[in-house]
Amino acid sequence: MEKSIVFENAPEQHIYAKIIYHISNLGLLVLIMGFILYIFGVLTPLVPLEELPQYWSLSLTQFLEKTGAPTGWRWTAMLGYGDVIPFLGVTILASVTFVCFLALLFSFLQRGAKVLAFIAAMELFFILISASNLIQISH
Amino acid sequence: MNKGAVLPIIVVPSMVGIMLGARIGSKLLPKVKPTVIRYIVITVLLLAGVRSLLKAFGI
Repeated sequence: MEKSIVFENAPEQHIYAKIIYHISNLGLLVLIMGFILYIFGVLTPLVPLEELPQYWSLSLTQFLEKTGAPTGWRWTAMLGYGDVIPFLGVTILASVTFVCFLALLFSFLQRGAKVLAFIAAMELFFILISASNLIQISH
Repeated sequence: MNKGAVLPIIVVPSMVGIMLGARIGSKLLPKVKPTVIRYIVITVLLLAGVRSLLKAFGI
């Protein structure tokens, strides 16, 4: 007789999956809503859609000079523009891992799993460092 | 986004496509035979390879 192997996920895996599901739904919704506002001209874009193709071939430096497109976190102060509002959805989607690890950190601390809590804290630290734009990679 | 090189006209459709594709794929995966998936992947990669070759030779 064959033995059936019953595999149970750890509670943290359930937490992680639930957070991914909910935040990615929210991010997708915000992303699509922002894009609709942009594409239908509800919000005026920083760079008009019809002018965009003429900037495509430019280098990044030239593109930023000509368009005044925001760098780093400057977009948060420019959410009134149609081509900046979709960044909100992108950021929500990009924040999924951070929120997941934050929840994991509390979960691990609650059940006294110190090593796992330390790993989660390190993950959070590196995500924060990279998102903060403090470390620049120069070419 | 740190460098300011995000064009929503390109990024948003790509992200929505990736997200929806991943969801549809994960729903289909238990129902489709692995062999079918293997042949689909092989075909897509072959086509991508042929396209790259044609592009490289300027055809």
